[in-house]
Amino acid sequence: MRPPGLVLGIESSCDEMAAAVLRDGREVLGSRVHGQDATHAPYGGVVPELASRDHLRAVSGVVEAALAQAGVAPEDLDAVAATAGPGLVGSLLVGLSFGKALAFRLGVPFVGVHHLEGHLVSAELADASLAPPFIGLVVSGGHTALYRLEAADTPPVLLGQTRDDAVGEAFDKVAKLLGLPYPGGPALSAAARDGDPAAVAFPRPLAGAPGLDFSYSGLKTAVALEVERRGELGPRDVADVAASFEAAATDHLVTRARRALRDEGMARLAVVGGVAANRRLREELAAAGRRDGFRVVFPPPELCTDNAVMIAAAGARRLARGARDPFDREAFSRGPLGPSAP
Amino acid sequence: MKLLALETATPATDVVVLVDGRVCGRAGDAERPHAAALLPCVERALAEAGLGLGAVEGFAISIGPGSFTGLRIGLASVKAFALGSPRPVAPVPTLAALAWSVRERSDGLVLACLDARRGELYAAGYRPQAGGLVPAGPPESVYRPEELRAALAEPAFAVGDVAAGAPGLPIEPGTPTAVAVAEIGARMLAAGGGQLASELVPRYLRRAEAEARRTGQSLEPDAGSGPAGEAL
Repeated sequence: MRPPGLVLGIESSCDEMAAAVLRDGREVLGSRVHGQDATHAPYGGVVPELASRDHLRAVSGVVEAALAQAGVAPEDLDAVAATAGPGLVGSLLVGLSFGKALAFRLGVPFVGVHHLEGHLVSAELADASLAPPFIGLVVSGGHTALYRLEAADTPPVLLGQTRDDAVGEAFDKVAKLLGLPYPGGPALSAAARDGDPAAVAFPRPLAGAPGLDFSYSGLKTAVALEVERRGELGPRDVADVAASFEAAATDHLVTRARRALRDEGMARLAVVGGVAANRRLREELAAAGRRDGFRVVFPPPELCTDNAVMIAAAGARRLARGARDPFDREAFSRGPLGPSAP
Repeated sequence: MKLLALETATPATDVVVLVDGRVCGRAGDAERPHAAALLPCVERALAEAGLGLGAVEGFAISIGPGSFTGLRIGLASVKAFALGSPRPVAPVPTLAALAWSVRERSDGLVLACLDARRGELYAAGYRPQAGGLVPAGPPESVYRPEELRAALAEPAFAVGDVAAGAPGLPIEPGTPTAVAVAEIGARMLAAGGGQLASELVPRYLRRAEAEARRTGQSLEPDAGSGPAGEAL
């Protein structure tokens, strides 16, 4: 595999516009992330049309800043990679159109990247000793899935995924029910620190069911009923419900991750995506690892949330495997990562 | 001057290379979505003109109103073409591009109309003058058909989407073309009306729906105010 040289990565699948320059798929020369929390806070969630508009305003500045930090001119780039999906199509199309047009102008290869391959690769960037085979657990506002990573030059294999809400989405929705500010995930975890995780015995999703799928809609409904039952919520109620929800939500992840490791006969787990920053999840998985004898790798927070370093890294891998995408490549809103994925 | 012009505000993608006022390359795609069609069209139009993108001295883009997604695909691409370079971009009002093609066939008011969905139209009036157009009559905005009728103080030659709904006069079917975008853009750049690509945003003319609902404001932030009334 020939090293791909200087790769620009662009990520715009949700409400972050990000750009990064990597050398040979590993060395980060420049990275910028432009978030939109203030834009979406009044709505308690991401408004797709507002996200797309903000991306278009931000894209040139974010890419220029990443290139400047790297000390690289556009003409120095050897390739461009951009997230093609899954995500909000209007958001994706801003970064994808910009990336394709820049590659066209420079006469260099372009590759579209599956957002989840980016997240999975970020674990290997964070820990150079982590090489396939390992199990990848993707936990974010848009995704909850388990993958088996066989080798660096083969695409990850999907083992199980959520049947309804993503875990981060459930965190955000429960935070809204509890009257916590947006973005809800971190606010909920902060509130949970003062609460009793055993205060409410929320049902564990898919308890007793075989397989590696996830489900969060039932748990969310159980929380809504509990909130309704309690009526006016004091700080104690908020803390206890938050802690009990967080315990049930993370327990579900730990149960499935342990089962995947056991079923696949693996001893290494990489946890990636925005929810990988959750303290309780980290503690529970580390404890399970000590009990069962597996090692857990968490990327640093800046690589957990959406970023373009992971997109440039995943793009560099696709390039090294000889992948090239045509300039008519379109964005896609959903679809698992797998042999047929980009 | 060598100019690359893009039209992605309406369903068809259209690209033109204009060299010293002459169309030297043109490629269109009415079948595929803008995201798939645009760069292949740019490639074909440049090849026909025998030019590389590096030889292009300026850009013209249909800046709206129109399909939000189409406008963003076109503008994001131009931003990449112009990244880190001072090559100017002419933001051409889409309704002016629509009126452009019929300006020589009317002495009076030309009314450009595009379907804005929800039973409304994007519309703007122009008057042919000195080979170009000056804004006149109903200012660029979003109208219900009866509002547009009321805003018309004189007979007009209407052009645009037949499906846009009846403003009370026959509409000649028409769409904005990249040729019109290029010709208007060339005049704008010659008059010093070019802008930096990095700072350009589309003329949406409408707020995001969620924003209008939350704030209790209308969908149309600029209703009635219209664009700066510059000759094109």
